[in-house]
Amino acid sequence: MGKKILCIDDSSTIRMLVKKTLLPLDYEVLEAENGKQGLEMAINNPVDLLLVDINMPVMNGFECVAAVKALPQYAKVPMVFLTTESSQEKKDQGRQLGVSGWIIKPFEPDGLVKILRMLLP
Amino acid sequence: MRKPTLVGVVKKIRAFEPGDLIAAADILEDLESLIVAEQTSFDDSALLSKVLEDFTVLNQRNTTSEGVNWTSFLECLPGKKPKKPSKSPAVRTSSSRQAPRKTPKLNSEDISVDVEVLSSFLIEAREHLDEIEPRVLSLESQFDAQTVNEIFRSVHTIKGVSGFLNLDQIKTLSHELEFLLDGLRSGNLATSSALVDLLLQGCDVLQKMVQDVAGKASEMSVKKGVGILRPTFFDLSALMKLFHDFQNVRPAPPQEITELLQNPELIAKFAQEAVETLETVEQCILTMEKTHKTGDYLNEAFRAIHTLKGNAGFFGFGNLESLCMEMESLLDSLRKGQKQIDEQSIQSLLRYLDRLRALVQLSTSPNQAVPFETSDHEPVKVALLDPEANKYSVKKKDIRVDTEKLDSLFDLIGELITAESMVIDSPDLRGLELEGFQKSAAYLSKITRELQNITMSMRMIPLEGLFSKMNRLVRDLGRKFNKEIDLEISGAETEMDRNIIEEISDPLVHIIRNAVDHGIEDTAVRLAKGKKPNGKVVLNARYEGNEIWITVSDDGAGLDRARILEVATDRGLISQGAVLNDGEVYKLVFEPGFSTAKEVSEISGRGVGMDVVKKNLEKLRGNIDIHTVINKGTDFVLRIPLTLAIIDGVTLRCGTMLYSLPIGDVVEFQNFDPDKLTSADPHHKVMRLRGEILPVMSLADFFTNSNQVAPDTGDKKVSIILKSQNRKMAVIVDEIVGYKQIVLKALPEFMSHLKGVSGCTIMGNGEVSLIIDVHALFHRFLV
Repeated sequence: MGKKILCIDDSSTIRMLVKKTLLPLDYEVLEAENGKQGLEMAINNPVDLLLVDINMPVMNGFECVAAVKALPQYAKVPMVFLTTESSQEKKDQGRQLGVSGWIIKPFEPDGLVKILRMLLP
Repeated sequence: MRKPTLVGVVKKIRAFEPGDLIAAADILEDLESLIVAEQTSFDDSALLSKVLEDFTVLNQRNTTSEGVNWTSFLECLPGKKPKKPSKSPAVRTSSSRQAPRKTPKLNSEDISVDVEVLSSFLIEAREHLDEIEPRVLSLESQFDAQTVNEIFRSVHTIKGVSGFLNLDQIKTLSHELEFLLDGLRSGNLATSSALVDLLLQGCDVLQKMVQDVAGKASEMSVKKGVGILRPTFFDLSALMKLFHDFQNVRPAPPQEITELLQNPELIAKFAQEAVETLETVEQCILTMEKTHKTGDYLNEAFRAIHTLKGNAGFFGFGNLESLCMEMESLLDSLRKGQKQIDEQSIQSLLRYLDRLRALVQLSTSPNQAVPFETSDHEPVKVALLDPEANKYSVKKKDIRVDTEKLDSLFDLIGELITAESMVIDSPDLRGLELEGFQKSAAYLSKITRELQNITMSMRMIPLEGLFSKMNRLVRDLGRKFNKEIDLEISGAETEMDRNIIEEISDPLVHIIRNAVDHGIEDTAVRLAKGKKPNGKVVLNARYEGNEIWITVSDDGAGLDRARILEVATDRGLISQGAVLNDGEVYKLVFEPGFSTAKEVSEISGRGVGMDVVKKNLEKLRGNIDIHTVINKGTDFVLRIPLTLAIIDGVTLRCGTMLYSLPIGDVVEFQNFDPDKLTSADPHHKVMRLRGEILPVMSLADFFTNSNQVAPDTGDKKVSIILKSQNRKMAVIVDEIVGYKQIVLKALPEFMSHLKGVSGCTIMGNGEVSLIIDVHALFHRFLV
């Protein structure tokens, strides 16, 4: 049974890239286009890992991760920021939230796979 | 191929920043391959394995997890160089696992891309770019943090995705734009015309690049979903310099701006904004009081007061600024939880609010006669918003459909309506009593009509998009010609067929260019004429019968009749001494190459342009009218048929010919009574209808087909009362055939000179009916 990944990003292209990278490797990819939608999805479908963009409309990535982290069933689920924000400030803000880490866009599809294998052995 | 060495890995691990997953994955891979290769002289492979294990576990934990001791982890690594750093290229069993770091570039400019991803990027980028421009423009008139954020996000998305596609130039440019926007967002940069200019310029280039990629993408050959793209190289150096200049010069507002701020108009705007802001804050406070929830409301109130504080400082309202500061700090302590939201704190927030309100009024009112103490006013009633409802609406109700599909759907509906009338009015059924058939036919008609309505509405979009582009045009032109021009837009909500909007975009641009360049005078001239220094261009759209009228009015010099005649005579367009009415004279400006401009400017005056207007409009079966008053201005009225395809029409017979009238132009039908006619003179007859005198026209005479043998209808002719704008007239015809939907067809080329006819339609029995252009009929008959 493939692992379920929830990709939350407002850019449909990014979501498509993630999907294209992961689908052939037996991952299941769910998509949401903003933090709010992502949160709802995470509640309704238990997933194994979240890839979250930071800059999104309606609810940004930080708010979304904080909200999902607060759900007991997600306390130990790895979450990764998938973002172009590379400033120290944003990284620190991410650490505060207790995410596994971040992937700075643009990422290599290969790199993403490696990271998922590392986080979801 | 990269060959991991122990030294390299140790270096990487020392530099490793927890959370950097790409680096983590990289290190892990190195470690693994080191272990597998066993090529290291550092022979304690057990230690290496332990490091690998620890490192994996470490990264699986959250970055804040306790118990991760990086120091101890690093200590167990060999801190010094391994005894014998391996130089010999050892055989690596795991080499197949090493993927190249970068997608290989085929040559310096070629990029290999996933076609699907590229096309998704192009759609997305265009959508974002379309949204950016009006938002940037709106920043010029009013700074709004929300808007900056939206622009930022759009640019940010473009940057992110272009990185994936190795579209380096797009990425670089969007990065620069993002940097500027970030400056705006954080308050390091203030909005200024120059900044807006730069942003717009950047967006323009970005648009060009995206367009270029789109063009290239449509040509490239695709193998297994991968195409090779070679985007055009854009020289960005000049633009980059501008960007960098901007980043380096971060000036305090110059003297000029401070003076500008004393402008009463700006102050009034500030006052209005402040009042609105305070209202928002009040609502937040009241909601907090009622729901005992803070969260967003507190933040919103804080942000609003913060903005107000900033603005007040900008305008030099010291009192207001310090009062805002006090309130801000109270809000902040509430936000941080240092104080409780209770009755008392709410009360003091509201008191602050009242004082701020009074102060705003005091500071910004011109006569400064407003009492300061207004704290005892009546409690304000605020419609409390349901805190949770509709706050986030996520579900999208629309989908994207290829316009080609929509167009073919549209054509098919046209065919369907023709087919329907072929069946229902089939000559085979004539004279038969078919009760069941009639019922089914009526039902079919109902459905086709609904189908058609829905299809039509799918292609209708408001003119807003087109009109808002004109804001930019007028602004740019005004700057170019050093004229201050205000554009007034009304009726932007008027909906129009998408295809038509595309066609009128060019004509509109030409007309507005002309208005700005030739119509509106220089400021000095305007002042000399006693006009306001700022020129005005009014853009209006409205429904008029079966047409949409788009009016472009300027308050400039008007068209110079004498000069037009002079040029036309010179060019041999009209003969010497020809007598023309005003309409005919002004239509001369649409002749190809016609220009009265003494100097050719960059924008207009070469004489191309206005004939484009005419051509495009003809394509749409539209018309253009010009009204001009010397020194008062010129109105260009574009009259465009509402739809290209299907209209409701009344079909009538006159002689042996069938004609159709758009239903919107018909007022009523009357039995024609020759006795009611009065002759004003031999050519003009009038009739009286309920006290109104209407000119009467015989359609047969107009189309000079009266000599055709008409089937005998006795004397029972029908007069149809038509209207166009505010005029009415009666048209005499032989017989009304019916009322139905008609599918418009263009007249064949050789008949296109026919006056008063805008097209034709094919009836169910194959007969052709000409569609009458009612406005032209009025024009020809009454002028």
